[in-house]
Amino acid sequence: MPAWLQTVLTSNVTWAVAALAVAYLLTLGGIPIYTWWERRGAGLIQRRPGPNRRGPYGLIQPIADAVKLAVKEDVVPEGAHGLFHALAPMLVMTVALTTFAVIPWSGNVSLFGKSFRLQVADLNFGLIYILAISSIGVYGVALAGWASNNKYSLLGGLRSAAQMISYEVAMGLAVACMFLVFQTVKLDQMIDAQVGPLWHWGVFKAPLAFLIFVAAAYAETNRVPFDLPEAESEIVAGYHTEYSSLRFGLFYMGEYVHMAITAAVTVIVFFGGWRLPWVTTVGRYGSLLPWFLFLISIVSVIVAWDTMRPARRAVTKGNILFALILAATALVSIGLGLFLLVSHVPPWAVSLSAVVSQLLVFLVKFIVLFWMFIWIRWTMPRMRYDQLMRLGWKVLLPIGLANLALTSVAVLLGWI
Amino acid sequence: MEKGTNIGETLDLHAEHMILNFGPSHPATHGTLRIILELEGETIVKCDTEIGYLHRGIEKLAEDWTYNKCVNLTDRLNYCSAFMNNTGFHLACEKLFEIEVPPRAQYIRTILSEVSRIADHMTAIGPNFVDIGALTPFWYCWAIRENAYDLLEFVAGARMTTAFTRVGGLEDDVPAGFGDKVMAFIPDVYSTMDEVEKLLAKNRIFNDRTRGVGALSGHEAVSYGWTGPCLRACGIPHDLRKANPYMVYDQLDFDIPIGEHGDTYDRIFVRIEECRQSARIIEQALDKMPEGPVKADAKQVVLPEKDGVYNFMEDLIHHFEIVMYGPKAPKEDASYEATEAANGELGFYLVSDGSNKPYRMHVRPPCFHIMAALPRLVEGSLIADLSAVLASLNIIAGELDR
Repeated sequence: MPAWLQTVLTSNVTWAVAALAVAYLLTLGGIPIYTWWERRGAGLIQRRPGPNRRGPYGLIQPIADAVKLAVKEDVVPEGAHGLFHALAPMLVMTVALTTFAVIPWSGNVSLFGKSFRLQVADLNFGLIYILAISSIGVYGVALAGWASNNKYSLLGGLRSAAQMISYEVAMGLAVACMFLVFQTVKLDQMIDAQVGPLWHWGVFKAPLAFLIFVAAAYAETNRVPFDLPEAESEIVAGYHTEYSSLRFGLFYMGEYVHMAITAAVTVIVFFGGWRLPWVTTVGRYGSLLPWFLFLISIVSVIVAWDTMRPARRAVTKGNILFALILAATALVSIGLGLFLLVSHVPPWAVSLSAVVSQLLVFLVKFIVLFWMFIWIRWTMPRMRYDQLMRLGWKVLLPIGLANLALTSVAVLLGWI
Repeated sequence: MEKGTNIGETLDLHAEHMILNFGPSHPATHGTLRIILELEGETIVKCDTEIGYLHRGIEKLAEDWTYNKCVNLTDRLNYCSAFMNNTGFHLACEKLFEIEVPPRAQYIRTILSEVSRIADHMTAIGPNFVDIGALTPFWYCWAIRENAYDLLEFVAGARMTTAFTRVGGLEDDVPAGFGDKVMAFIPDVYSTMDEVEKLLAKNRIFNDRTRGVGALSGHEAVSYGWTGPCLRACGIPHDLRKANPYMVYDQLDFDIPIGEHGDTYDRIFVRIEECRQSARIIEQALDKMPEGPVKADAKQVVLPEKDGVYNFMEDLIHHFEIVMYGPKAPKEDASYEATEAANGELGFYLVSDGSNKPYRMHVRPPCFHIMAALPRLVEGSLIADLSAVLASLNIIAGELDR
């Protein structure tokens, strides 16, 4: 290996940039995929095709949407507060993106005697940072509602503020419970605490905290069944009624980024992050396993998708392209796997393979949790404002407190 | 602070009620209605309705149109189930003209009416689900509505504005293959109803959103003049198809589903059950449907066969008269015929001066009376309840404003 490459690989900047790249792929880069996925998922649930005209399986559709949003007229209503009206969507999007800084995408790997991890910022208050930053998001929504000079927007903004503040309490209690269980607030240490058998995962150690966390997280992301701030049949579009063009786009993207961050945090806190149960992802064979698992999961998803379609269509260009991509993925994975198995692999290559495989494990879990968002959105009706408040304050809060007390006792007695 | 003064009285919270215009263009009004709300927070303190945004003067227009042309006006009343309006109007005409419609035409009218009823109920409950945030059952309902419209299109050539009835029968017989298409449609109705019920009947959020919301007692419902599924949801088994059978409903076996509490939940599930009963009616009617003519044996009212027009002087004259001037009512008279349309009692009151046009047509729309009770149903509840209640009442602006 040339010396310059070694310098690049062992530079902190390289790793920070790589972590940033992953974060951006999952947020800004992921949004087209998320929106496409949501529509296809909705189609699957609602017995209709979803977008299927632009590109193979409608994959180009999000780009068309983005272009449409970008070229639309940017309307600022009369009487709106210009500065706050402009600031609100930026605030929502910025806050949503910033939370990604502390997510560890992989574990520590050693490279030429140094230890690295795919993580933008290794803050010592990890999860608390996420809670703190994502709470600021409510300002964006409330501000949008107020600055629009529209009664529907105002109602939406107020609903959102009330909802987010109420559910943050329950979320905080669930997270506090996990702090007790893992004895840490740092995300990478939480993942390390979940090493070993499946029941070391947070979801099995504190199932009640998981349920509270998920309910609260769904409320925080303003999605069905908690999408009251933008309930179109009641208050038109809530806080973003008066937004158009890319300002609306920012709100729209902010929602998906928020979903992504929630899914990522859930993976880390409750589902072992990048770890596989029982097996290790480090070392010559360990770093190989996830590649195969990933391959198998991709194939099974595609087979399931194909068999679930109501009518199998004839072979189209899109199908062929999809099959080619699939075959290419399979070949690359198998080829790389065989190469790592039979050849004399330098330790740095094993380390890099471990990073990639850990990222893949993380992604698979992430995809499953993200699908849950879509699944629930298209299955549930919307709650009413008073029912939402009742659930937050009279159900989730007492259960959260009781759960915290029980967990403390259990931790003190060494049960978990 | 004086002794005995309430703290709340000394604080000036500067709380004003907010006036909110709910409509005329709002996603949940499903038409052009204007509802003026006085809100305290999200609670509706006062509700006032303003109608007339879709007023097209249908009753006045009818005075200038012949009895056969007026059917196009009735299409625009409750546009979700136009065929039932066609039928209701021409039943009133036939009472005026004192002619008997042949049984085949009556059976076809019954079948298509019930198909329209299913389409209308789907149009009512589907958006109702959307209004409480459940989008998926909406699409299940919409698929059935689509099939119903396909069927109507197959028969009448139009999906919504069917205009298929004429004085003395139908425009034409149903095309070949009608029976098969109807029988293919029926199983989907049953399976969709089961599916929607399974998805929502026990859903906690759905129950919270609809049970006890917008409830009305049977007594009050009658005093407001409610009819149709909304009245039956209040527990009153009144259905004109049973109470005053018209067409061939007395020869068919079906039940009248009733609700218990008269709330949104009951209104939705009464409609779902009615769809099943409609499917039963269609099955039986299709089974019993006789062969024969679809136009009455009344030469001065019904268009003659083309064969006769080309070969006989009298038929040619009748053809000319009916096409140019329309059938003339036999004498100065008035008639009222009420049918059980999808929303309730749809009545047509016709006054004739013995000419080819109605001297006066009055429509008794079911929506008008139901809409009158809206403030009573929603005052004191939240905005979200208004959307749920309004959709469950199935207010159709075209019928409301005429």
